[in-house]
This record gives sequence, structure tokens and C-alpha cells, in this order.
Amino acid sequence: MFDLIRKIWRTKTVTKTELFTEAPERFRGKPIFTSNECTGCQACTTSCPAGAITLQQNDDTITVSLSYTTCIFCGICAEVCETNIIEITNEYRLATKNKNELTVSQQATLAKLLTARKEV
Amino acid sequence: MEKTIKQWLSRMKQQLGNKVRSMEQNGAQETVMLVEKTELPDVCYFLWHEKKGRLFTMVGNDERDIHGFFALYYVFSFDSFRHFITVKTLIDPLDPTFPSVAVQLPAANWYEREVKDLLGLRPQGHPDPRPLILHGDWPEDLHPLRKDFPLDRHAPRVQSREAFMPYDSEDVTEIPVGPIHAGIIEPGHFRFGAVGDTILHLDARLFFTHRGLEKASEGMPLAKALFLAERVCGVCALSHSVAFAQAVERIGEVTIPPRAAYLRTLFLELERLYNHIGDVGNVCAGFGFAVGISQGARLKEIMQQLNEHVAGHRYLRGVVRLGGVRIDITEREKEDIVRTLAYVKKEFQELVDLLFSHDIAMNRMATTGVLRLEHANDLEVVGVAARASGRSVDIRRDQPYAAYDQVPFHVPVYEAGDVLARVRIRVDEVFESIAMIEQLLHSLPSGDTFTSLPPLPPYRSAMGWCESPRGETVHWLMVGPDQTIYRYRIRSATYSNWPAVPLAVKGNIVPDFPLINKSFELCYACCDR
Ligand code: SF4
Ligand code: SF4
Repeated sequence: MFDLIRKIWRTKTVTKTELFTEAPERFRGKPIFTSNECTGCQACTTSCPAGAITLQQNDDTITVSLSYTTCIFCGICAEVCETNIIEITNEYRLATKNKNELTVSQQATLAKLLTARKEV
Repeated sequence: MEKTIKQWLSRMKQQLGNKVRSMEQNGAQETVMLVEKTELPDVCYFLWHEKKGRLFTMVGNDERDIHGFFALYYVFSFDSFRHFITVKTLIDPLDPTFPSVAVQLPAANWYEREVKDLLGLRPQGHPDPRPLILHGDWPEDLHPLRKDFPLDRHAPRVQSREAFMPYDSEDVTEIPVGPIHAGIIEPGHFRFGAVGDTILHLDARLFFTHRGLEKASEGMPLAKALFLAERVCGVCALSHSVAFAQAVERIGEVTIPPRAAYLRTLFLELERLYNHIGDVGNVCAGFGFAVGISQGARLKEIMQQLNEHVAGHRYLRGVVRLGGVRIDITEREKEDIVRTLAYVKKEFQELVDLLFSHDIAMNRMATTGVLRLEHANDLEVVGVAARASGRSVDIRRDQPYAAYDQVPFHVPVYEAGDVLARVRIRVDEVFESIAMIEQLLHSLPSGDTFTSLPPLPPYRSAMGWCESPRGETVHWLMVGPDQTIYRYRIRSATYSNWPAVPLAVKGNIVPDFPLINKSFELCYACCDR
């Protein structure tokens, strides 16, 4: 009996002694786009296991969008992106009152793409 | 060794005589025997009873597109030879029946009922005609695993054919529990026949979480299917992904680099640790020992935060890639693991001392929910439940994979088969795993963490296996054209162990059922798929 009480006393209230500040560095949270240098290579859309990334091509722009409602935070897109514009952050807070905030998009203009291709 | 296996196989061929139509190798570790379906029960019984093979898994496959027949594969594991023998038989679609093996080999019971539900192959003479995977309100003539059943087909509901044990005596009270439970647990329907408060019989109705994962995986590219494999189960996520990756690697005949093998082993042991520690705490909920529950939960949380820190995921998802691992660890993380484990080891020892010196706790655990060795053997029980009943099976030792042949470890076995023995196994394994991780970190080789896979030849099959925290898990895989899945059969540890639970609860009091159930700690999701 005394061992039990001693153990409880020594452990204290965990939620007060072991505070949760932020997720560890390696934690795979929200993927974000870091720039608009998308080349439209589609590597991310084809390898995303959840189908969370879509690519839309209009006349001279390309829009790549990623939806957190379907993303499973696996980090594959960041691994395959040839221009490294997708980065996995350790941000885990997803709750929002506005559903539109759960989709992030990035636009790249085709002209820019053409010059980018030439340089390669 | 090579020679002895050859001799052993040719002797077996002689003994079986003309019952075996042909015998061929499938990879280094598996021999496939093709038999006529009429010989199926005899050959299986011979391998199981005379040759002491363990029924490892059983797969039914719709191969009509390939050669016009259905196929059944009964896989037996011969641990002392580190070899598998698969008994294969072809079934004509015009006569979709086969003689039941389950009559003589009780472990085949569920497998055969599953084949009947999902493929419409009827085991003749099977002792239990009730549906298993699909519940009674599913139309009897619709079989979702047949290739001509479209994925998006909606099945109409019919009058239910569900049946439970009928009791004649008025002294027997029927107590239905679930599928919705008081706690936040998975769905299962338990129907007790009780005399007073003693359980006479238990009918466990599972498969409420059948999601058709195997059907969904058909035609899926292998790289994507890995994510599906990871999501078969919440708490054995890594074991399932490793088993799947091994099956793919075996078909491609690639060996993963040593560092990848070590890292897989390391993470698999971390998975075992957080599960076992949490389970020891959880068992305490079976008799309301609050200090044990909280301490178990606290230590499990520390382990899961360690997982998150080193692998990026609390349940160790995203660790495996086909051909190796995706996560490498640094020197600093090695130190973090060692430091956390040292703390957890000390704290866990204190928890165990408190639990095992508590008279009421010991009283509730000892002699409760005994699973007898004969039952465990007949049903091919695996994992913690098997080792607690004196059945020494551990696939890490018996058919080593990853780096398990590089680190020595001890496999604890207890004879009693009660709740206490199952808790003791977990406790011993926690300390074993901690010791193993220390060794693994100490001898971690340097080098690549993955290798690339060649294109896989279509219609080849292979198995991948893994000792998950609940016991051995087997993934049987056949690839189709263009690196996609043709047939994927997941046999989790819980699938083998659930049939043993009703046997272990017989004769116990109803209030002990939650405790016994917790001591088996079987999950539903990976059993139901
Ligand atoms: S993290 Fe994974 S699921 Fe999410 S968008 Fe990237 S590839 Fe898709
Ligand atoms: S985001 Fe990256 S991977 Fe995706 S299309 Fe653009 S460049 Fe290619």
C-alpha cells in the first residue's frame, strides 16, 4: 500500500510536469509549398498515395494544390519533387472553421516554366 | 543443411507417393506440392500430424484469368528446417467445392469459411456452415474476391442468416454484449451462455470492421499498396508494412542492405515495446488497479514520443520502403534512444514490482482464463498467447528475417496458460527487447538504407512474415502485370488467436471476461481487414 502511495507521490501529475510544447523536428506534419518554381512534372501527383495533390493547367499557368483533408502526411511528395518546393513541416494543428483553409495552392506561370526548361 | 532439406523433401515425396502430382521450388524457402483436390485432406493431415508442420496460412485465389481455375494454397511451416511446404490444388469453376481439411485440422476452420464467403468455394463436410467474414445479411451468392465482382458494386441486404448457439435449458442465461461497447474499443459481438455467473459457452461474432482491404488492393501499384499495408492495423502498423515489403522483396529476389535490416529490427522492437508496456498497464484495467493503468499509459506515452522523435510517427508509420527503410538515425538519436530506454526500464521494473506484489491483482490474474496447450496447438495459436501456454513459437527465431539472426535473444515460455502467464511473457519480452535494442545500436552497420527493386515478373507469389507484438503475421502476395497486386492475403496474429479466446473463457465468471480478453489483447481491425 505504501509503495503505491510513494509511487503516485513521486510521479506527480504528468500533464503538469511533462508539458507538451511542439512536435519533434522529424514529425511529419503539414506539407507546404515553399516557392512557385513548380515545373508541372507531376511526380508528386502520381506518387501521392492518398491522391491529395492535383495539378491544373490553364493557358499559361499551372496550379498545383494540396488538400489536408485527404493528405496522410507520409512525406513522399517532398521526397520526389524535382525542384524541392514541397517541404514537410512539423505543424500538426489542422483545426479550422473554414474548410478552404485546408487546401494550399501554388501557381507557376508557363513562361517561367519555359525559361526554366531552357536553363536545364 | 541444403542436403538434408533435399533428402527430407524427396523422402516426403516417396511417402506421399502418387498423391502428389508435382513438386517444385518457389524461391529458396518454399516448396509447392500440387495435389488433386480429393487428396487435399490426406496430404494436409499428413504434413500437420505426421511431419509436425504448422499451418502457417491458407489462401484462396481466383486464377481463372490465368489458367481457368480457382486455386487453394495451404502453407505449412517447418521451423526446424526453416522451410515452407505449400499444398496447392486447382478447383474447376464448374464444380466449386473441395473436401474440407478442417474436419481433421481445426486450425483450418476459419480459413475455409473465409474462402466460402469471399470466393464461393464450398468446403464439403466442414463442421460449421455459418458465414464468417460477410455477415448473414449479405447475399449468399455474391463473392467479392472473385475477379468478376466489380469494386464499386453495391450488395443488397437480405434476411439475416446469423445463428448462435441455441440453449435448451432454462438455467442458461444468454448475455449479448456489443458490437458497441462501453469503452472506446473496436466492435465485436459476444454472446455468453452463462449458468449463474459462470460462462458455459461463448460465441464471438467478429468481422464488423471488414473493409475489403484485400479486394481494394487488387490492381494497386506496389508502392502505393505499402501504405495500405501500413493501415491494416493501428498498433502493428510497422509489422504489417515490414511483412508486405518482405513479400515484395522475396518476389524480386533482392536482399536489403545490412543497415536497413538492422534499422527494421530496431523499429520493430520499438513497436513491441510500446505495445507490451501499454498492454501490461491495460491488463490492470481488468481488475480496476488504477495505479497500474496510469503508469502503463504514462510509460507507453514516453515510448510513443520516442517513436515520434526518431521516426516521425507515434505508431511508426512511414518507416519502411520497398527495398529498405526511409528513416535513418543519427548518433544523437541513438543516444536519445539509449537514455529514454534506461529510464523506461527502471520505471517499468517499479510498475512490475508493484503489480506482482499486489495480492488482489495476483489473485485475479492467476488461474484465470487458462488456454490449454492442446487447444493452442490444435488451433495454431501464435505469439504471446502461444508462449504463455507452453507452445514455443516465435517467428523471429524460427524463420529469421531482417537482422534477427544477428542478435541473440531469449524467447520466454511459460506453461500455465493463464492471464498471469501472458502478462509475465510481456514483461520478460520488454526486458529482452530493451537488451536487443542496445545490442542493435551498438553493432549498427553503416552503409545504404535501401536498394532498388527490379521489375517483378507477373503471377509470381511469395510470403512475407513478421512477429508483431501480438504474434506472427503473414502476408501472401501474388503480383500481377505492371507491378500491381493480383492477390494479397493478410493473415494477422489475431486471426489465428481469436478462435482460442472462447476456449479460454469457458468456466470463468462473466466479470473476468474483460480481463481475459485484455490479456490476449487481440485487435479487430487486422483480423477483419
Ligand atoms: S504528404 Fe503524402 S499524402 Fe500528403 S500530399 Fe504529400 S504525398 Fe500526398
Ligand atoms: S510540385 Fe514538384 S513534384 Fe509536383 S509537379 Fe511541381 S515540380 Fe513536380
